[in-house]
Amino acid sequence: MNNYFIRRLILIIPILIGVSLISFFIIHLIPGDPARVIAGQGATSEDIALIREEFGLDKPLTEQYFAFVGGIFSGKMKSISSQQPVIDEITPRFWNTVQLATFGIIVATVFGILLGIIAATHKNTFVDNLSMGFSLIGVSMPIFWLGLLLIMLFSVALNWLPAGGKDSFISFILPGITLGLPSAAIIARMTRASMLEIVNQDFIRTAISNGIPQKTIIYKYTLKNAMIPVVTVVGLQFGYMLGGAVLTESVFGWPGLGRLVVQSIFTRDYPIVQSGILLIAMSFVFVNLAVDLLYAAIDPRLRRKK
Amino acid sequence: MKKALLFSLILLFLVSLNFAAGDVVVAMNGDAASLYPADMTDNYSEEICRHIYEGLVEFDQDMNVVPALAKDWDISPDGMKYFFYLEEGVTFHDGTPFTAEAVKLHFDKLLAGGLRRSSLYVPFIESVEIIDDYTVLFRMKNPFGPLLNHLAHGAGLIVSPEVLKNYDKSEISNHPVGTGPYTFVEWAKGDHVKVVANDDYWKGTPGLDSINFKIVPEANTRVLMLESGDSQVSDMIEPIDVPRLQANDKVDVAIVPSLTVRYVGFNMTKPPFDNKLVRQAANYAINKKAMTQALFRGYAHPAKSVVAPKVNGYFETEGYPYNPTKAKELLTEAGYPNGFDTILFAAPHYQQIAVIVQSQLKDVGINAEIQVYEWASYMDLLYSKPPNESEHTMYVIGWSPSTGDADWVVRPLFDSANWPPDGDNHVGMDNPEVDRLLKLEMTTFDAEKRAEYLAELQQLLVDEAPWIFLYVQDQMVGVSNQLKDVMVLPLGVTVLKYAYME
Repeated sequence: MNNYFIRRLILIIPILIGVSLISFFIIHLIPGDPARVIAGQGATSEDIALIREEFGLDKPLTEQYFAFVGGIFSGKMKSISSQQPVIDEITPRFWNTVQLATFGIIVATVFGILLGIIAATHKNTFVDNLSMGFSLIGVSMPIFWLGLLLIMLFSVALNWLPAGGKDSFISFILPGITLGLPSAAIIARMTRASMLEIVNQDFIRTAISNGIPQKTIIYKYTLKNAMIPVVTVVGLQFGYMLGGAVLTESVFGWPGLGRLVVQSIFTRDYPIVQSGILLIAMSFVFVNLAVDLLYAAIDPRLRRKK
Repeated sequence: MKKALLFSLILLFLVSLNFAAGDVVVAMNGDAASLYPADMTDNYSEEICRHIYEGLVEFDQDMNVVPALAKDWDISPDGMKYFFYLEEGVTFHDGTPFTAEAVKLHFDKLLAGGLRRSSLYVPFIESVEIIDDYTVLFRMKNPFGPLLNHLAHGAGLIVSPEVLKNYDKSEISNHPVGTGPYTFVEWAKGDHVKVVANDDYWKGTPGLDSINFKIVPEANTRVLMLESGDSQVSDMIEPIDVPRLQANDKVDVAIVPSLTVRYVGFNMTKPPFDNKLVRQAANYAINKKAMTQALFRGYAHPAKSVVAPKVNGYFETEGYPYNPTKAKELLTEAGYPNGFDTILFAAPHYQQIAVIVQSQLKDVGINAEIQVYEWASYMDLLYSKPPNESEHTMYVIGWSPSTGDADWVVRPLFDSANWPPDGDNHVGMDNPEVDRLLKLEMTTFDAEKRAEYLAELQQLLVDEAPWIFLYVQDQMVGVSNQLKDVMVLPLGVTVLKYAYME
């Protein structure tokens, strides 16, 4: 177990080097000059040369790459557009994203698993169709539109919740639901399918014939055994949410990492884009690692195998 | 599982218990880049800075230059010396008194170069000298008519000398200290900038307790926030939302002509656009009125010069009324009776415009293939090489002079010395008569004479037709009708400096 964990941690290093190389070269190879974009129309060539020099954009690419890697460790790298240290720009944004993603994944997991259980226990009835219909809508509805509809209902018509920004706990509700609903739908479908598969296995049939109460069968035997694929999906969804829910963040004016990275791509703010992508990749890798560890916690058989 | 759930909920709740009520919220499209006015180039930064800082002079609603920290000024008859008489008894938010020294220090930093707005002053101002505590002298390198406009520009907003002495340029942005009616409180990157009333403001207590500039990139959300009362001002409203907001009795929509002229530029160094007749033909081929109706529901007006009507020095020409017959005649005269094929470049936000231009050009025989470049690549296309070496042909773009004066349009865009990569003359204009008039307009101090040169220049530029002159768009800002005296400057900046709640 410990060995496994350490091996997984070491494997993260080549992944991050790969990600840093790819993000660095892609953003540098697409045309566009950050100095030109930031200096804006009306800038003189001296203005532009000045910015290039200040941020080392006039140096060869390999040198810039090592400056970037060095900058990650020294923490002294600065954003080209705001001229502030990258770490000061990214950290609060990432924290905002983590908060929203946490809320979103809670919404998704609670609704998703509940809906999945209801559907599985009422297989092929009206209730099943209703909840699976709901989850189909959840998967298909564009986040953008869902967000705006929620604002129109809860902010404009009912005036219960704020339309945007991040002021207090209540400002988490709408973006959290918007972010969580599509994932809830995926989790619901996965829970239903996984539970139905378990229900047909011998040990459940035996349990039923032994007269064990239905509640115990559903929650203790079936659900627990059905959890592995569900946890995988929850982990993946959480990883995506941490990668920045750009659309949700834009609709609700949420100051998250995804929006920062996308906006920085447009201005070619290389240090922010590269560091942001690296951070997103890193959180994805760590979420996956956590999911793998969770498997072992859920299923004792996996613990013994390793 | 349950415990973890509860724990995370409590955690989320605790970290976010800072709900603020009762302040005026301004919903802006994007975040400020810097709160050091001399080192920023974007409107969002300027909008916020204009509440915290003040300059010697400022713009009023109609872009006239009016006194601010300078109560009065004298200009030597040759236009080489500007004496500014400063308001007395003004202090910065950090307690430092506002004197001639503060003015000198602010402009010395700009004149030393290295700031993103240095180029607004370096070419014209020789030095800034202290005459006494409340008199300051700007000595010029050459007479320059629009100097006051350059001083009213955002970059002329004066920063406390204590801040300038103690912090380097990127740090100044984190310590915004001016003399303005609102004092800086906090800047949550990507979320909001908050300012509160400066009770010691020299013109009396400001009308609002606090202003919260919130970043809301989605236009629909800005409108919905205004409707739900989550914001009192929402910048950049889309034309499609105007009728709905106008029908709302809690909201007014301020509709103000902008300073931006949108146009299709020609690369004049390459055939067929090196031929004036072709360029004029393309101008006659476009129905600008129909275009502004289709795209902006009438909240845009056909452009009749290279500058917008609210710009100082504007001269209205006949422009190019829609006349496809004349367009075809001119094309035949130019030797293209059957038209020609070309490429029309556009950035993503200009795509709709490009499509309309394409279809109308087709009617007179010009087949334009549209190529869309994302913004940074688009800038590269236009700016990385001189026009005669660049591959651009026709391209949709716009220009807005942040000084509010025509000089900041005609000089960067048409001076033969300003070809990319050194400047903004991406049409490749190289015309001795244009250069001569530019020199005259730039160095003439007498306002009437200068206006004549500018008029002559604008007429010449319209005749030369370096562009298809498209339109000047209105900017729309939604304002809660309890809020009075909000200034929506044609610059694209909303100022609540003198605003109050009713």
